[in-house]
This record gives sequence, structure tokens and C-alpha cells, in this order.
Amino acid sequence: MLDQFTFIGVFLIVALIFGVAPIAIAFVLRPKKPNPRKAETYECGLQPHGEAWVQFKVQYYVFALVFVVFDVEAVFLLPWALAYHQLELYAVIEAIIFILILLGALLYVWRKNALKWM
Amino acid sequence: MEPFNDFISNISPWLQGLLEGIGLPDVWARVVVLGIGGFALAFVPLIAVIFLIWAARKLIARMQDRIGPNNSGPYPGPYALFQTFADAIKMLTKEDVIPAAADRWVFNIAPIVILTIAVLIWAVIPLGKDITGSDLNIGIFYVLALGSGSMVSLLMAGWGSDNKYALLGALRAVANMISYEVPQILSVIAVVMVAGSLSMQEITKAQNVPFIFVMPVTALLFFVSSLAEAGRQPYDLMEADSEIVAGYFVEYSGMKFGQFYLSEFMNNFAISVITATLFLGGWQGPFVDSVPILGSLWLLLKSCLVFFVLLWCWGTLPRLRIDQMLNFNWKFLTPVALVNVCIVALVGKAVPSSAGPWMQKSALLGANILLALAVLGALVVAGRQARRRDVSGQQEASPA
Repeated sequence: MLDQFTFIGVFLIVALIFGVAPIAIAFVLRPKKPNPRKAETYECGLQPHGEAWVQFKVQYYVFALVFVVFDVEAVFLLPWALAYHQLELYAVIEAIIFILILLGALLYVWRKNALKWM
Repeated sequence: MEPFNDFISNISPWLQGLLEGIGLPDVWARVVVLGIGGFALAFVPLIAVIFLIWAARKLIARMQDRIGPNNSGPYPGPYALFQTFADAIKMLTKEDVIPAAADRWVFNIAPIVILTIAVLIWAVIPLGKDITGSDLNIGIFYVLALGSGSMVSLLMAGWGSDNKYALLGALRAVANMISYEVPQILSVIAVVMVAGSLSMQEITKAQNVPFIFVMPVTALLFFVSSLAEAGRQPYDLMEADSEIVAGYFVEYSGMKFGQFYLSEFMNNFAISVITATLFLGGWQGPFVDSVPILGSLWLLLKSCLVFFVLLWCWGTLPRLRIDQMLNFNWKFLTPVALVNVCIVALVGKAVPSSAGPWMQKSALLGANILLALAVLGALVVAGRQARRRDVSGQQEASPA
């Protein structure tokens, strides 16, 4: 058990080496001819107009909120799914009622037009 | 073939003995052995991806009535097999341009993070009978967790570039990935319920009958949502070459771009292998018990089949708009996935285990087919209503 997670730790280092190595090799091989023109922000050849760090469409935030509900739900459901074979019928029914409440929440969000892209 | 398996299982004690013989403390010897194993494992997706990039370009070209990479140039070799190597060398020798406006730290770390995560997923994937990097008891959960991690690196790339296209691409990517994670997790929950374990090896061993024949709806849900997670057509609106140029990696050049490209293909291959493991029986197949190494071959064949379906979608389907994409997820896939979990749970308990595994499996299959028919029926009704609304709306709008 501990050995398995030791492997994950070691593999994290290996994966980091895999992530850094191509850039390191490229750092040695690549030419370097800096030029202020090159370092301009790409905007299809036009002069960039203003910053890109702006306030963004709030609609994405609404979807993120709905997502959080369902992701937390998944955290609750995974242990239940894992223990499914040992569970009695009433525990299964309880979980199904829990899922149906969530389905109700989804319907509520739907009816409130929060899922409609403006 | 026996000696080969003995080779894999014996090499690590032998190596550890050797290292301890030199005088290394046994903890460090163990770490070095694991590190060597890790390197061997990490090269598997890398080598697979090099050939899959070639296969993808070639096959998609044929689907779109083009020739694709071919042996007309001086380097690519027979059937352009070495085209990918030529591309890799080209990327390594390209200048690295960092925009003056970019947030340098975030900009530079993003390609490292994304490739690291793409490699890390392979730690738990069973590559054959008893060939796994580490058979974690939370295997599939680990894969899902890393899937959300790659989302962070996309946001880093998009936000760090200080480019409007990149920002649009990154936010689309995040909206896409968080949305489709919900049906993905829910379909994994259905699999876990039937298999009774989160470990990928245990899930494979539970499939005497591949799960795609037991719960086809779940398999389809998982494949579609994984496709969206990986940002493949028709869900490639985060890259969308023709509208936002290349999305979150528009400002990257040279090998940093190469890392995004590489990790994208690694993720695509990873979802093929995971789909093959969860639903097509993984390494299980004929003669695996007598010749265990055949398991890896079966897994490779099955995941290439899934990868071909992915390429098929890539080559033929048009891109979705963002509202269509989010609607399809929240108003179709998520409700279906929730109902699917309920049905799998109920059928598993309604048919007692005394009825035998075959009875249980056919009951599940029957319930799945009923669910599929009900969903199709609901779609037909909803489509008819929408068309009627459209027609009446047009009649009101037109000056009579």
C-alpha cells in the first residue's frame, strides 16, 4: 500500500523530468534573436488594443456554481458506489432519493433559465 | 513466453540486490528501482503517441480525401513514418518567443504542468496482466482528479499569455471541462458499482463480459464526455483554429507548443486506453491465462479501436457552438447519467445475486436498452415540439 504511493511520488519526479526535459533540450538547441516586434501580443497582425486581463462574461461563473454542486455530489456517491455490494436495499433507496433531489435542483436551475446561454 | 514475464517480475529484486551490493541503503535502492521502472513506464505513452500522431494525420487525411503526410519530401521515410520525428526536431530548434506582455512565470510553467499531468495519468493504467505502474486502490479516482488538474494548466496558459484569443480559449476550455466532468464521474460511478472496486486492475478482472455489453449507455456517456474532456472534435471549441486561432496556446512557440500538442495526444490515447479498460475488458482476452503477455496486445488492439472511433469523430463531425455544447451537457447528458446511476443501482438490488451473474447481467442490459429507448423517445418528442414552436414563431413573425 505504502509502496504503491511511494511509486506515485517517484513517478511524479519522473513526470516532472519528462515535462522539463524537452524545454531544456530546446533551450540548448534553439536560436535566440530577440526583437521587440516579435514579443508583441499576437492579434492577427493588428496592433494589440488594450489588455486581455479584463472582467469576463459572468455566465461562465453560473455554470461553475452548478458544477460545484454536482462535483461535491460525486464525492458523496463514490464511497456509496464502492460499498454497493455490501449495502442493504434501504441504503440504495436513500442514495437514489439523494440523486433525485439533485435532479430536482438541476430542473430548478433549468426552469430559472440559468442554463440558457445569453 | 514465460521467461519474459519472469523477466519483468524478477528484474526489480535483482536490481535492488545489485544496488544494495554497492552499499546503497535499501530504502534508496528501492527508490532508484522505482525510478527506473517509472522511466520505462513513462516512455510507453511517449512512443505510442509518436506513432499515433502519424496514424492520426494519415487516417484523417484519408477520411477527408487528402493524401496527408507522404514520402515525397527528403526526410519522412516510407509512408512518412518518420514525419513525427522530423516535426519534433523542427520544434526543438525553433526560437522560443515570449510575449512582452505575458506573465512570464505562469506562461513558462503551464506547458511543464500540462505534460507532467499527461504523463502522471499513466501510473495507474493497467498495461497488461499484472503490469501496472502502481495498482492504487483508488485508481480511477486518481485519473479523474488529474483530469481536473490539467484544467488548471490550461487556465494558466490562457491567462498568462495576456492575449484575447488565449483568454477566450482558456475560459471555453474550463467551461467545457468542468461541465463534462459531471457525466464522466457519474458513468464511472455506475462502473464502480458493478465492478465493486476503484482499482483499474480489479475493474478489468471484474469484466468476464466486457461492460460495454452489460451497460452500453454508460459506455457511450463515458466516451462522449471523455471526448469533451480531451477537447477533441466536435468539442474542440477551446482550440477552434478557424475562430480563435489556436485558443489557449496561441502565443506559444517552439517546444512549448510541442508540449501542448504532445500532452493533447497523450490525453487522447489515455482516454482510449481508459475506455478500453473500463468497458472493453482491458487486457482480458483469449489465451491470456496461458500467455500473460498477450494481455498487453489485446489492450493495445482495443485501445487502437477506441482511438480509431475518436479519429472518426475528429475527421467527420463539425464543431459545436458553446451554447450547444453546454446545453447538450446540462440538459441531456447529466440528467441521463443521473437516471442511469439510479437504474444500475436498482437493477443490481432487484435481481438477487442468487439468480446468478448471467441473470444479473442480462437484466442490466435490458434496463440499459429500455433507458436508451426512453431517451430516444424523449428526444423525438422534444424535437417535434421545438419544430412546432419554430414554425408558429415564424408565422407570427412574418407580416401576413
